[in-house]
Amino acid sequence: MSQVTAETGIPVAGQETIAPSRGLQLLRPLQLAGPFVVALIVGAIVLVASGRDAVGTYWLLLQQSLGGPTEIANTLVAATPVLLTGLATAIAFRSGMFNVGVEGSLYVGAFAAAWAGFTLTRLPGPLLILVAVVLAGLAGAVWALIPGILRAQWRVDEVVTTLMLNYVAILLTSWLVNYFFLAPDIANSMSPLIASHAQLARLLPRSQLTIAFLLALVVTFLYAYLFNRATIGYQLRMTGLNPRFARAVGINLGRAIIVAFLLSGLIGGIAGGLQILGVNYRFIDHFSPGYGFTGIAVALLGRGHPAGILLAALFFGALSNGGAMIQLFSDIPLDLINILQGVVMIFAVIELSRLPFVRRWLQRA
Amino acid sequence: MTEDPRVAGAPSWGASASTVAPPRVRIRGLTKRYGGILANDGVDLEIPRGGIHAIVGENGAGKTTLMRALYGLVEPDSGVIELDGVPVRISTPAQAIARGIGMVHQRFELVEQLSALENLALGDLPHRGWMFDRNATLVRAREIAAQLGTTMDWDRLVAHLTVGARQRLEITRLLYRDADILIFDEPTSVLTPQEADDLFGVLRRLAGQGKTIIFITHKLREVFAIAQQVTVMRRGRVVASLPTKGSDPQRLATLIVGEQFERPVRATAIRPGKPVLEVDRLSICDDLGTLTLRQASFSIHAGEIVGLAGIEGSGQRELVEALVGLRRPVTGTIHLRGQPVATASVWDRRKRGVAYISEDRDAEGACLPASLAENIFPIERDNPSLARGGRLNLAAIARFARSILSRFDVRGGGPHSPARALSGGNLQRLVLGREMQRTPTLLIAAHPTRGVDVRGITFIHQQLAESRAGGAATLLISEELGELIELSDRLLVIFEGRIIANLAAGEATPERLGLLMTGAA
Repeated sequence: MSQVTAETGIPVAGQETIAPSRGLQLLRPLQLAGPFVVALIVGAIVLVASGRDAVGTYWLLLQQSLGGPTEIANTLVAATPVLLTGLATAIAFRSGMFNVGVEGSLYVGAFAAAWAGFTLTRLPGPLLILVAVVLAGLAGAVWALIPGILRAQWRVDEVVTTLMLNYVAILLTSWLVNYFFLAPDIANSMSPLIASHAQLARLLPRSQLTIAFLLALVVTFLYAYLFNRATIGYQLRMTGLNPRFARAVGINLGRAIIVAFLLSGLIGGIAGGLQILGVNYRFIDHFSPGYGFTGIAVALLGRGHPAGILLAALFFGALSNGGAMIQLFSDIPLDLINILQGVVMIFAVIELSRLPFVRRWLQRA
Repeated sequence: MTEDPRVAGAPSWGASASTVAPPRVRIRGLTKRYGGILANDGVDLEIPRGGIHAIVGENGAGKTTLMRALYGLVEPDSGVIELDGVPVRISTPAQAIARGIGMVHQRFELVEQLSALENLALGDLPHRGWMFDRNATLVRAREIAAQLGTTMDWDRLVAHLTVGARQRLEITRLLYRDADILIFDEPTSVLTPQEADDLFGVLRRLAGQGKTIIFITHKLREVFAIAQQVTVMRRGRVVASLPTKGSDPQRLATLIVGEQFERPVRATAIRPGKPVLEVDRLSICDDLGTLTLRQASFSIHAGEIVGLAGIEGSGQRELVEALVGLRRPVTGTIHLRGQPVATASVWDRRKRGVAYISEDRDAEGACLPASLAENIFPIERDNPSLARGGRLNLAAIARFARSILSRFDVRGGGPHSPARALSGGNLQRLVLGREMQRTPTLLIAAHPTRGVDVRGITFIHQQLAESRAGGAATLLISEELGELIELSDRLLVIFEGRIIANLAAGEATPERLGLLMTGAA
């Protein structure tokens, strides 16, 4: 698919594109599989140390995440939001913008979709869903536009602004739902339910799998298209790989930054919107368990490559789905899943070829 | 104050050095290699105790590397450093300071939020129990200031000190740490003329007290103003070490730039066309807001190569960036074919035929992690046969890239190979191919042959000549005076941000340029 692509542009290790030496070629599968293997080992140590059966737990985890059609469907449901937030994050990363504010876009997008779902109820089903998704995307894009403009115009560091705006978004939506859109007769901080015809149709009976996942796949394809085939994607990529070069050949950096943030926020907003329309059916205060932040992990683990992002999202989906289920069937705490996720992340960003003992081995090979 | 007898006359040099006291500093066969570049190539240097010793040479001649090796900031690959005849190993600045060697860098190493006194004491804090012994420090500080013949407001924050005062503070700090070999890396480059004069007073005084002062500079008049001895470096080697008495700027300039070049007779007579670039009273600030180009005015005509000679850092970079559209000028105008473009975007200017060969090939001229095709494509991105309706035609782009690679003889990779895989010379051919595949209207060529092998240099020169024949107006910036003289129809000389000379091709010789560039003429 990608012929012109020589590098992803994500600011992490392991993107060398020079024809690798034989030693490096051998290292490659290890580099990709390594994080997962190490994570499983560390997880096993934690399990054994706490007096539990590691193999049995892993087997249960596998069963619950991939053991049958319903389990697989639930894994896909869990993968959907992090696939989208992963793509949203990766767009910004590959453009050289460390946007860690997808969580914020997700919240405002989710609220916009919920608002459309319980307010514009007179619209017919498909149109209402379309309007809700579009509004969600727009809300997310506008939210990301704030740090984008600050960065493009005044070089305000985007890490600080996007991180902080996450909290603003979470608290803003919390305020909106608690003070203006609280569902009647409910103690919790929730908006009213969206109209039933705004809810995404289920594809399988005992699962919340909806067209949201298919939509996320479409976005994945669009993402691949953007960076491999589109002129604007080329400009974004050059901006990310070498902004000085990009400027010198006449790419408008300010515009590239704005576009990167808009697209990133758009997808982040859609991620939130689809979560409301397909899973929650209403806006719930503080509803996200950190989809936006997991998206950062997904983008990094997938190295900005569309297929990599998809795989990483499925992995995190399986972990969170399986983890939620084994909690029901055993006394394994959910924290174990968090440990696994964390260990995978740590080892994913380690560049194996830079470790001293690996380097010595490479020199001998 | 009694004068040290060793400073009174020209210091004893060379022959007698081995029989009497060994020199304060002796460097033998020092070699330092950075990748493929020999920064120092078997350098021998002797510096006697006391007096001021200047080290001159072009940029990249190896002066700073040599001094950084002496100060423990650079680990030499081979060679010996002797202090008073005793071989020593200096691998950190702390060791250098312990042996009495101190260095004042071009950028001062002071903490702006602390007072002058606190900065002085940093690293060697006098204390009484747990407390900073402010009074003891102050006594010491005043002593040293008196020794230097200067004054200092010790409680003032460094942030509020003038540049000259900061430099004096740095010198004071070296003395506070008991340094008696003081290295200055282009100390006057940040000073006003008045401050520079004050500095010279301080340096003479220190030399008079028996301190050994090593002074790196570009400016020949400074050498003759204060140094007793001068060492000339060129391309990593010491080419001469001589007393300033009995020498003259002319001779030093020749030593600095190297052998004279025979100027070849031009095949084509100069018949300049219409003015393409007209620059009028252009002033530009650098990133720190310092005015680095002042009131520059010149023009370049079609079919003309105008060379710009000058010591690096004289304002060339800012001028180039303003011409390309990467930097807004403070005042003044730039006209391209009669149209004002001083505030036009890079892309706007490129569409009008501005081509740019960056001096920083790896960081700006090319995108190393991207493929060769991606490095060539960007300035053609509005070409409908390569990209239409926002969609790239990958096959056409690869074909286009391949045609340029073969036309400009880029070896080492195809359209999809990463640019990182190419050698410097081939990468420059790629850049040239991108910028010159269509004859530019205005070509800004900054150090086009830097780091390129001989074969590549000839090729680049041919390309420049070809585009000149095709009617391009070219601004050529280079540190190779031979290249400038050989290729240019006219030569501008820039010194401290001002264009101080505009010479016809026949009037320029390396000596004359050398004198103008160093402010000696």
